[in-house]
Amino acid sequence: MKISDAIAGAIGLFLSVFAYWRSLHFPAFAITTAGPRFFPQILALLLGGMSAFLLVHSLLAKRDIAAAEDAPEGNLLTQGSRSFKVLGAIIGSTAYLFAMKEIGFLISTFLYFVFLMMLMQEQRKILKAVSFAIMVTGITYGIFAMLLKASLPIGVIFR
Amino acid sequence: MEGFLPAFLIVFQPINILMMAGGMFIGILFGSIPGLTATLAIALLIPFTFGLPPIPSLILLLSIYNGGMYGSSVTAITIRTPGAPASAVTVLDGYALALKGKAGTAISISCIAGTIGGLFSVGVMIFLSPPLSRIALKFSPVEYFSVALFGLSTIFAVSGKSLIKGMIAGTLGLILSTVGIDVHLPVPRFTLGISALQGGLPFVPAVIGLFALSEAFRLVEKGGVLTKITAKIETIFPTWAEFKGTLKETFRGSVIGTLVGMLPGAGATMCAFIAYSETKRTSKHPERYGTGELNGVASPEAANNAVTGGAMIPMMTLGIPGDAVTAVLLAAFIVQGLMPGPLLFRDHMDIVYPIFAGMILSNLMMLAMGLALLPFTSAIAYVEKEVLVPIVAIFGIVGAFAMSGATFEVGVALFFGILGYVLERYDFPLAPVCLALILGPIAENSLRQSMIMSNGDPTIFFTRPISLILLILAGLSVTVLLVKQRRGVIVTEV
Repeated sequence: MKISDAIAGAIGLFLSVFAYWRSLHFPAFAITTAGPRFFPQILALLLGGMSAFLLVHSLLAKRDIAAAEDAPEGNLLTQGSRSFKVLGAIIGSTAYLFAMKEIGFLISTFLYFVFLMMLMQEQRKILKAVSFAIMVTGITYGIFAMLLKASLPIGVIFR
Repeated sequence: MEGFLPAFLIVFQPINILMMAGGMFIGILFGSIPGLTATLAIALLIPFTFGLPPIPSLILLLSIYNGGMYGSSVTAITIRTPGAPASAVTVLDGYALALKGKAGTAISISCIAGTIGGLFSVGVMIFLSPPLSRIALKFSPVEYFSVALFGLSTIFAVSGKSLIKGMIAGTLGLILSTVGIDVHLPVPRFTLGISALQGGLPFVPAVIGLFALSEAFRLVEKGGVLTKITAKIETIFPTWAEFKGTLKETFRGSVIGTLVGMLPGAGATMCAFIAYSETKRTSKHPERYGTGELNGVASPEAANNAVTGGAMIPMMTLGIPGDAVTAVLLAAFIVQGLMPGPLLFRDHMDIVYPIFAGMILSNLMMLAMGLALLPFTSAIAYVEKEVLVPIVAIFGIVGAFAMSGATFEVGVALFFGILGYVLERYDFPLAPVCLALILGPIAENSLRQSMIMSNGDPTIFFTRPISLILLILAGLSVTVLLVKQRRGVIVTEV
């Protein structure tokens, strides 16, 4: 077992306590004892039990094995850079979600594509990113807006 | 059975043939690219089916399912990297054949065996589904709860490297399935004050997030480029003697794939491994396996394609999906206003027959397209990751948005994308989360209805024969899998 498993177990335990606590606000009865809180409480207890098992099992595992298994691939610099890239992709995706409404589908999709492609590239190739972005934005718009008649946001610029 | 002729006439309409060919191409493409799966392709394409009638939509998605199974064997044979875990065992003899300059023959055999396996399983599906659905019509909530529990128990257990992690992931999915207004009382549960959550978590955006966005984030983390196929593939069809020599094992794989595939949670990977080991065990020359034996390709490839029909049986007759891909397909049925289960066979035979006919023709299309595309396989299996990641992310997000034109759905997809990435990053499987989201409401509803029926007495689940059998099977499957995991022989499924 890894140290990350111990953390996962602790998070699972926290979530189970949270789910159980929230379920206390639901009515207990609906004709029988099986009211709205019945199923969530069973699940919270199950999750708590299994997470506690994972936590204890990880803590009792031999430290040297845990340390060896937790050793990241590549050096620390590469690991850190990759994690930042994922964080960047998540933040970029969230920004895309809000930007789509504000600046419209076409501009936001173009920018999001260029951003993600640049994030993936080892060497910056801006022209390639821009050309693919124009192509994919056009195709996506054609499929969703023209073929499927989905209403995509126009944004404040084109309004 | 008299409904088959009109069904075939419907399937032969140009739109349906177009959808079938398109779906097959996408399935082969996604199946052959390591890391991408048919489940991801189906999740991404569900939003495309909103504006389509049910039959072309389902034909498109079912063809992706079929094509994905065959596609995964291509890279297993050519570059020793299975496109999906279902073809992991094909590597053993497939790659050995490629080293001998017989990559084309091995892929042809994989395609032919897959077609036979697929056709056999569809035949069994057509034969078994109507009577099974008639039996299922008599099921009460008690039996439904036991079926759901049986499904959940096996699915949790086989869907990950670690049993406990599979179960934690599944339980988390079950808790998420309770979000929204309670089905019996107007009480919001876990909505955190967000009114849009009162209707529950929408399944399609959740699936898009779990399989598409999380995959995009994972690819961003991995960096680098996808492996390029360098092996030259010539169009070499097997000789008659080679084809004849694989027929027996192709049928063995077809039977194993169909029968084991019917069990919830068994999955294509497990079926392929069982078929391979059975073929090797019964062979007069087991020592030849692993050195380039055609039967070592035919048997597992027939088995993993046969799973398509087998896994569809519980999904279509009971509304209980057997694996992640059938869970996503179930969502596609729901999107079309069709609820899989016994009532589908009672009320929508006009849809069911064309689905059957479509699955038969889709397998034949796989044979034609698989063999025709063989010389171009090296080209279709190579897509640059830096282009692929933004495409997957954009199609996922826009697909979720197009569902209702609201950002809430995209938010749900993003939430599940991040959840899926974090879970997979720490070896928690995603399939149980997806299946739990589908099976959770079925399990809760039937459990609570059963408790009302019995005035709160839980022994009702043990006093009804079918329910008792299913509960014993659930207990047995978990016990067997626990023992197997202790011995380190668990086969993982995606």
